[in-house]
Amino acid sequence: MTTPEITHVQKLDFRVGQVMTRQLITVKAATTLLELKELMRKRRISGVPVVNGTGDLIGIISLEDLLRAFEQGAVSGAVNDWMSRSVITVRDSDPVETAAQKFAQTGVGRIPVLNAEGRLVGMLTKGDITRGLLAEVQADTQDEEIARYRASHIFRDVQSDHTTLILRYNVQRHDFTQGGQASSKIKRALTRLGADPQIVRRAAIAAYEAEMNLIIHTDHGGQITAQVDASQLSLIFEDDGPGIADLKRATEEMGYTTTPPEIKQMGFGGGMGLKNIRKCADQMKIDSEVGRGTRLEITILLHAPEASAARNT
Amino acid sequence: MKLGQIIEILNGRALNEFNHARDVEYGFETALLSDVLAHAKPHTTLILTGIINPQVVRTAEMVDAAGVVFVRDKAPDDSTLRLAQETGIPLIVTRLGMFEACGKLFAAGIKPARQVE
Repeated sequence: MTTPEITHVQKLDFRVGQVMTRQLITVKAATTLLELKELMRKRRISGVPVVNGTGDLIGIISLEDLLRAFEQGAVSGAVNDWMSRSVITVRDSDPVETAAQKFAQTGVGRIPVLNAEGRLVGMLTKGDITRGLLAEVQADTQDEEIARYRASHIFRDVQSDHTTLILRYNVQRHDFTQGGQASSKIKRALTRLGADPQIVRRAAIAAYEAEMNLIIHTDHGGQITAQVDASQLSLIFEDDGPGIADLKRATEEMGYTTTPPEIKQMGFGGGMGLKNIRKCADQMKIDSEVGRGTRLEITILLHAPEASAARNT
Repeated sequence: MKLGQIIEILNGRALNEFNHARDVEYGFETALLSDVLAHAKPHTTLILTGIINPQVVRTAEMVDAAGVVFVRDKAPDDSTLRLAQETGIPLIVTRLGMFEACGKLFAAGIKPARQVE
């Protein structure tokens, strides 16, 4: 049941030293049980490490030990007679996961923490781990929120007469494994920038269709340039060949395709790409020359009337 | 309907970790990815296909699909599974053929994503 939590701790690279309590409350072997009882009550603690004159850890005594002593009528006894001498400890440099496992395996409520020299430097409870984790996770979320906020306000925060964000991606011919990565990144960037999800989706579909065209049809792949400003996204797809022989049919005739059969088997080449791009875009412009290459530019308005209406409600 | 129920109806199994309570409203069977790009409805469309290359996951990502079902027990390779993990697209596999899988889901109330007007 604790597995996901532990995985998360590993990911955070959390060390015992980061979450332990450093303010040490200790007792000596000679401390009386009555003094111990007062200390536990005042400081609201249920276990105390026992140290010798030089501060070295020699045992631990818990509320349970104290109750056992009182039950047996040893009211005037000292810590020395009732403490546990075999103490489970962790190092301050140990991963929190190690400590969590020790808690789970032994059932103890608190573990003294030693440094590399074996000196007692802190105490660790399960509560310390939970608190530390929670703080870390919250800090993570906060960072993420701040990053998101900053990204979505970039066009307001950066002062200029016209701010444009330019993203460039290179696309390899016939790269069917990595293919679509550029579109995926563009989609994520637009989401980060706070664009309306419906508009992001239209842009992603158009970008992906055009990116696959570069992968399927070009001689040497091509380049994608995404330009985003406060009001619109333009996507430019450029390649150096072979060029589209029948541009009219390619852009207008449903089902017209020049995709080779072996690529069709992979699910491409329905003769719909450019038509679908046109449907998704607010504007589309394509120039192509056989032997020279193709340049496709599409524009998507980031504040379409229906989208901004939806945002305002 | 939830993805968990889809798995039961198709007697299928999940190929990656995902939220089985995710909603599915529409289904779309295809051997053509452009078809999905042109017609899938966002968020609640389930794609049924025999295509198992990574691009089917990319396509699902672009249209915000609810998940992908591979029919006839077709097993996608590692690159497809990796991409699904990375993008969070739920993958399901069933031994049923396309006809039977679609029929069962339609009978259970899943609507066609592309409706004839």
